[in-house]
Amino acid sequence: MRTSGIFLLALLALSCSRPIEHEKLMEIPEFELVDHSGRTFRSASLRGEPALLFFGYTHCPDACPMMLSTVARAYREAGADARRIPTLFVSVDPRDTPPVLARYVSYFSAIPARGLTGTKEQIDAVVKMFGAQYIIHDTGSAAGPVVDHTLRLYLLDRDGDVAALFDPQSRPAEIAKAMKRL
Amino acid sequence: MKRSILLLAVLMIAVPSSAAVSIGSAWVREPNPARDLTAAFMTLKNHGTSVVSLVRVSSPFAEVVEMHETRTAEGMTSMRKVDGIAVPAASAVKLEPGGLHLMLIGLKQKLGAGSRIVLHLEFDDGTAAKIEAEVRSAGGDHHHHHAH
Repeated sequence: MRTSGIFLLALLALSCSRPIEHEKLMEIPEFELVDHSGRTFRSASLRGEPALLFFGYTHCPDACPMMLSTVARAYREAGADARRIPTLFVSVDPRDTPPVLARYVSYFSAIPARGLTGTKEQIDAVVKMFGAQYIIHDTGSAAGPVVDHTLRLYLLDRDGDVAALFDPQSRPAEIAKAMKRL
Repeated sequence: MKRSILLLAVLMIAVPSSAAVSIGSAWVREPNPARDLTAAFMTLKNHGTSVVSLVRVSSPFAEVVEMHETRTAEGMTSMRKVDGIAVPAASAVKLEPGGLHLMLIGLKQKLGAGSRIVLHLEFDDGTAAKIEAEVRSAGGDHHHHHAH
């Protein structure tokens, strides 16, 4: 009886001292891209902090703004402390140069966003790591090519691995809760 | 004389003075300053007894206005230009985020939240409508949360 009590106490102490375990949906290897200031971005630089990531492009007039709107609401729900969690907007469109991305992400004041681009090889490698896809089409629109792309919001844990997946229809409160848990 | 009055009455019934389609809840997503394009949304309601399609849209605020549809399936989003938006008889079609929308390309001026823009809509029944749509902040999207 006494032994089991001690064992239980030990177990309790152990569970309190360790961060809450979570399931990893995807393990992501380290990657390199170019950030919106034109500097090399290494995913290893995020280690120790969670992050949000999604793929898109700045000419996207509907799906990407919807996603950004949901993300902005999630940050508002999560409170000031969540601003340590950056949102990585990875553009899959070669038209999105670092200066364009810098202007694009600065519009969303509620989101500590970093626009990321890179060479086609770099972008394709990251897209593949996340099990995502993109296809550039010329549909005859005056806005130029349109890009079909994976519309998922990835929540990365402190190891840079995927801990949760969301989409523009996800409830901001649900995203905020997951952000705060990591 | 009587006959011509009767004919006139028949003509007045046959040629409605107002359009079969009415437009409501029109709004424009505040454009990101990095891009000169954005999307407009509204509800098209057909009060008539036959299908009417929206076939052309223009605006003094944009070089071009196209009709587009966003579709998301299995986590992939795609957007395509459509030639028209059919509104079935006695029905309504919603243009909303994540679905059908008007794409305003080549914006001619900065459009901040609260400003209003004019849109000209032309339908295949020969009618047209001029509407005003309010620009709303992108952070305050009025999109619906679908249950999963």
